[in-house]
Amino acid sequence: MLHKSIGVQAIGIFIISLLICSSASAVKITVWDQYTAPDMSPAVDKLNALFEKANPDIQIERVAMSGEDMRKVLKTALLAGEKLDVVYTEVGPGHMGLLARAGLLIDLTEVYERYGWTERVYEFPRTIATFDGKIWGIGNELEYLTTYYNKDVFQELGLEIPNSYEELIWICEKLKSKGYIPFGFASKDYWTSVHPFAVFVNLLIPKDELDEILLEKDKWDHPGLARALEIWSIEFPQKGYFSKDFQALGYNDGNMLFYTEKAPMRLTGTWLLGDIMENVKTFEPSSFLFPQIKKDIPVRVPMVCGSGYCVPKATLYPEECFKYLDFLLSDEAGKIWIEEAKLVPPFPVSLEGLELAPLQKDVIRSLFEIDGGHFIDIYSTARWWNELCSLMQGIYAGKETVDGTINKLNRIWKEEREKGLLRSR
Amino acid sequence: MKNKLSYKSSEKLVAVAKYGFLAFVTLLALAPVVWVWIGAFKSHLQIYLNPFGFPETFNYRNLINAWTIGRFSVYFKNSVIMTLATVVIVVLLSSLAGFAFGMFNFRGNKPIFYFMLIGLLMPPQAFIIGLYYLLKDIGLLNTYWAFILPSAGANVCFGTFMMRAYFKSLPRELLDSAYLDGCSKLQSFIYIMAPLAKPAMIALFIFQTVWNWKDFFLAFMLIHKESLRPITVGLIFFKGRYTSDFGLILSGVTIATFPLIVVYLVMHKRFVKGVIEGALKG
Amino acid sequence: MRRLKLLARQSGIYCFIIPALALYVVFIFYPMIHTLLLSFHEWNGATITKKYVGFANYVKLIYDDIFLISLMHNVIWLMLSLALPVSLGLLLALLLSEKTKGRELLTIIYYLPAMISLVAVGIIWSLIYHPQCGILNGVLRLIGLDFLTRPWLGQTPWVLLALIAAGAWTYFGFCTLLFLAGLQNIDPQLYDAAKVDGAGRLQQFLHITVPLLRNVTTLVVIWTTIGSFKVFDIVWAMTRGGPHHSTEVVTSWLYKQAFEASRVGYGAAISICLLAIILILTLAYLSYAERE
Repeated sequence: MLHKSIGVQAIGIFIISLLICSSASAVKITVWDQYTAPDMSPAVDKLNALFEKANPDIQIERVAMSGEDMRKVLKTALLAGEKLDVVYTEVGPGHMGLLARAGLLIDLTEVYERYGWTERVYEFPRTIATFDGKIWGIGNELEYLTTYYNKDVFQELGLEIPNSYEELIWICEKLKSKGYIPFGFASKDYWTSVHPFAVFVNLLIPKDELDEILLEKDKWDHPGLARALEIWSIEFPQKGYFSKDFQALGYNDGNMLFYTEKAPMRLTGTWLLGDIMENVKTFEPSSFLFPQIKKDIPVRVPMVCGSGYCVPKATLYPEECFKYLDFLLSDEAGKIWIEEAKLVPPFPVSLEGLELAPLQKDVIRSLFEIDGGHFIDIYSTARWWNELCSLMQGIYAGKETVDGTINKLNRIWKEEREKGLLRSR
Repeated sequence: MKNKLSYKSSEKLVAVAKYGFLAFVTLLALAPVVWVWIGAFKSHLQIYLNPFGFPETFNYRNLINAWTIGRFSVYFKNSVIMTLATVVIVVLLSSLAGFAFGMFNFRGNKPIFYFMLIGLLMPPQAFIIGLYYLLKDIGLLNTYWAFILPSAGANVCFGTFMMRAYFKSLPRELLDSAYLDGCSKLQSFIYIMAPLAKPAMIALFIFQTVWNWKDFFLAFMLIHKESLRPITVGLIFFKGRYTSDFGLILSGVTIATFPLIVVYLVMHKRFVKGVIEGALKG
Repeated sequence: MRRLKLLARQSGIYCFIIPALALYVVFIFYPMIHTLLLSFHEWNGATITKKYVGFANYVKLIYDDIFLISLMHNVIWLMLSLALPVSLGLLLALLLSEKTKGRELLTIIYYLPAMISLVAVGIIWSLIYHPQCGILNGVLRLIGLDFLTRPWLGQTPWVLLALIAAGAWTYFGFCTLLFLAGLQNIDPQLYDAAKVDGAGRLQQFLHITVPLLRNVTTLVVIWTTIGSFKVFDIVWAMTRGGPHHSTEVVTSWLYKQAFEASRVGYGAAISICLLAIILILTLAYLSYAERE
């Protein structure tokens, strides 16, 4: 299957190179994106090829790299005046916010009006790309955190989707007693720990108070934080809900546990959809939202835009870049985003006539039904959330305490708040 | 008689232990490499389920995919260009400087030489931040020069150190007689001293080739353009992109490791000599 | 000799040095000074202005637990490198310097891992240590040592040791080569003379081999010291300093601070510290070795 998609990709690259050869006088814009997954990458190649066909005077040079790699090089590259034209980067204050505040990006507020994006793009992907009252980018890939589960195993054991935390624990015990690893979790890639963290703080800290912490306060002073850390970092591993070697497994190993039916549940983001559909052949995958933990706090699901497109100031061809972004927001592109890249673009697309797997339909449908919560990393700085993930690794290993973790996190949070690096109202 | 026998058998025991140990180390040295090369022909699931097994069919598509889609063909070319350019500069400039330091007594010989020695000890991390902004200011960031010039700058320190030691060991009378024959310094270097220093220069060449080919940090920090990445940087980005496919990653590793190992096996005598002289003289 | 001095007095000798010197000064030394200056500032790497903070970054270093831990990891790396690849190299060199069949072939094989870039070494060894499909746990199970299997890259003392072992794999061949070369430079007659005097193997080793190998040993020790503090590639390719900083080394911490957390000034201070440590250790060892 992978070979097939790589074949498609090869054809894509071939087409692009043909186009490059055939139109020598065109303007060339360099696009950096993070669509490296084997199902997404060819889809983006196809989008670019379509765009070039419609605009023969513009060529696209695409550089795709993993988010982790991009975090390393993007800021320095932009600051060094590298001629990048369109960049797809994280929308947090430590990424897009930092670049915007340093004056490295073009303010797109006026462009939004001119191209009618204000009406077209959903509010969420627009507001998270807003810093200091100006819009700097377009969030793409609407995503939320969900729990994938192995429907076959659930049916075989007579299990139902849990409606409360107690029911979830009961399911875990049941799975454990049948020799399964309840959760396919892997923590070697430090950033994976942020996902359960985001899920739990939204379930344990009421909306108003969480908003206050993220946007105003210089301290996480809600007891829900300690509980959030305890459940996932201490209780679950101690109860044996993860594999024994989860600390040595990377993100993809965690997925493999789910795909190979060793672990019937996997808590991660909807970005994994394409990968699941490609790899899972032996059972029916489905998903549920992590259930309510406290009676008075309704389920809110962390929502995020994977990353956002923005236009660096260094570009020589801003108008061509806007045209490209406008194309990515077109109906034609929308179909490809959903059908081939298996992600949800930031604007309404009619699902009629599209061939979608049931799991994908479910995900898209519930995206518009759920109560969106906060995905923490778009509110924090790189320094804070690197430390968060690292400290959680410390708790798994029994080398850090919850209290110590909270103190360290609050110290950094305060520093970053004082320096004006966090989001504010 | 009995005594002699037991002496012999204990000797034998020592020999068995010795060769056993040598064989064990040989296995340690080779097994990982062989495992990777075989793994390159396997699919992801095969590696996952049966890490030891031989591939069921020799699936060379991984290698082809890595070469084309992984753009290892481009990385390979870049590595060759960057390594060769750096090494030529290093050998040339170090020989000149080593000749001067080793054969002449001039004002500032010692201080300048010690000043250059600091460069030998300097970790690239100690200057990378400043270097980054320097290259940006002179517009060399994201060109081959962004690797070649700093890498040569760091390595001439080592090269000068090594060539100086070699020239010091040459008889000075040669230079004297050349001078009497009316040679200029440059002439005496080109016609007399450089040919004499050829073994050292070859050693330095080999030492530097291996070194620069393996280098990662400078290019990683200073070159972002995908079309200019050398093989080491390409490999880590490749790993970031295809983490979910071990077969493909192992193919990438194979492509990245194969050339140097083959060159090494073909020219091992020169390599071993080069390393020993490079390190010992340096 | 006088003539040589005379020759040197003619100007022009500096022309031989200037190209190499210029390259070094412009691309290495000047950037190092620039880094030094940056270390007195607070800067996020993106703005145009930098804030001068004096020695504040260096003071912060003393209170930075993780910096101190990573420094300790470098020291452990150095100690274990001296213990493992260096002594293994010496042992192998001693064995090979006796009459040995296939000596040339063995030397070639031992040096072969050194031909692999550290990034590739990191990737190869992360797969070897992989808890599910890695060969290390596989071999242990195969020979019935199940109790030794563990998630190598996930548990705290083991993960650092695992990295050091991977580093040793590429390094021991180099040590072997150097020691072997050193041994071959020793005049065999010395051993014959010692035998006549009735010296045993151990005595021969202690009184002939060790002193005469001193230059090579000094070299290897310095090389190992610099290498142990510079180590970055292999850590970055295998664990990025994790889990929970248990493989953090000075260079990876510096990198994270300067380029990920956007604290360029602080990162610069770490790098200047690193340089100072390497310089001090090397010079101290050199003066110790020369004095003897």
